[in-house]
Amino acid sequence: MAVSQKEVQSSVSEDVREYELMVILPPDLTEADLNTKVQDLREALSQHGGKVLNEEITPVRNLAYRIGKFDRGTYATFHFSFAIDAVQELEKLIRIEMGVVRHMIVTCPKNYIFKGIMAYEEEAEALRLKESEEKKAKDNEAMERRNSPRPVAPRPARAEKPSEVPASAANVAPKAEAKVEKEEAPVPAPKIAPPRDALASVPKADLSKVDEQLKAILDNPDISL
Amino acid sequence: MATYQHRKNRFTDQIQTFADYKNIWLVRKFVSQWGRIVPRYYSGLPVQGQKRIALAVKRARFMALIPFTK
Repeated sequence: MAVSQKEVQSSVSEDVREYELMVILPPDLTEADLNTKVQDLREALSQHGGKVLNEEITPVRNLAYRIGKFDRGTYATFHFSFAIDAVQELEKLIRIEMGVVRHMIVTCPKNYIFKGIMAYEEEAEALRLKESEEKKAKDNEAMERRNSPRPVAPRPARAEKPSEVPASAANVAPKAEAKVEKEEAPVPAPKIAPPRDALASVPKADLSKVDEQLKAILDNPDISL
Repeated sequence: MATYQHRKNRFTDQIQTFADYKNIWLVRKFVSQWGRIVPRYYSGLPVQGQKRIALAVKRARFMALIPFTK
């Protein structure tokens, strides 16, 4: 007995599947008309061993684009089980006789939990609120951090600068010297720049000597630059 | 909107088994400012997730929940 019941159940579950129907109803219906239309749909879905499991009817909403002459409409969604063979007939019935703006029947996935447009919107609104609150809290925290006084570390005392350094001498001398050293000998040039006091004390007569040396190097045919 | 910098496998729980076309908030996340489906390169979804999202976007478009183009 138990076996036969099982068999019956399995055969039924093969023939029946869960579907979802969404229709857009015209916005200019009166409440009574809307109710009768929804009732008609319910009856149509109850044929062929069908059963309405869940439903949702929204208030009049704006459509994302104009369909025919309508740019607003009422969305009615039904979650129902229906005989697989009869779905095409149902679709035809809805298309021809129900006077809906648009309709769509989709098969539901396994373990489907029905949730309407409004429920999703409420959820999204709650999420948006939560996000905005989190952002506000973050901003406030950042503002507080910005406004709070920083811990001041004691600065190391600065060394006094040498006063009145002739700029031209300081700029020209070290470059020329470095060049000369590079060209003449493979001795690595000193990486640390000579202190400014030392530069200031380079006499101008030395520079002319350096110039001569440089010229000699440049004129030297053995060295290619 | 998903961008290259923000590409991550997000919304995993919403698209684990299927993506619902009625969830306009979710669908909008995977649509560009011109109304086109964001490619996987930007959305950062796994293949199956991208397929589910694409189907949801197409259904939502058909039912005038989101526009085809903007």
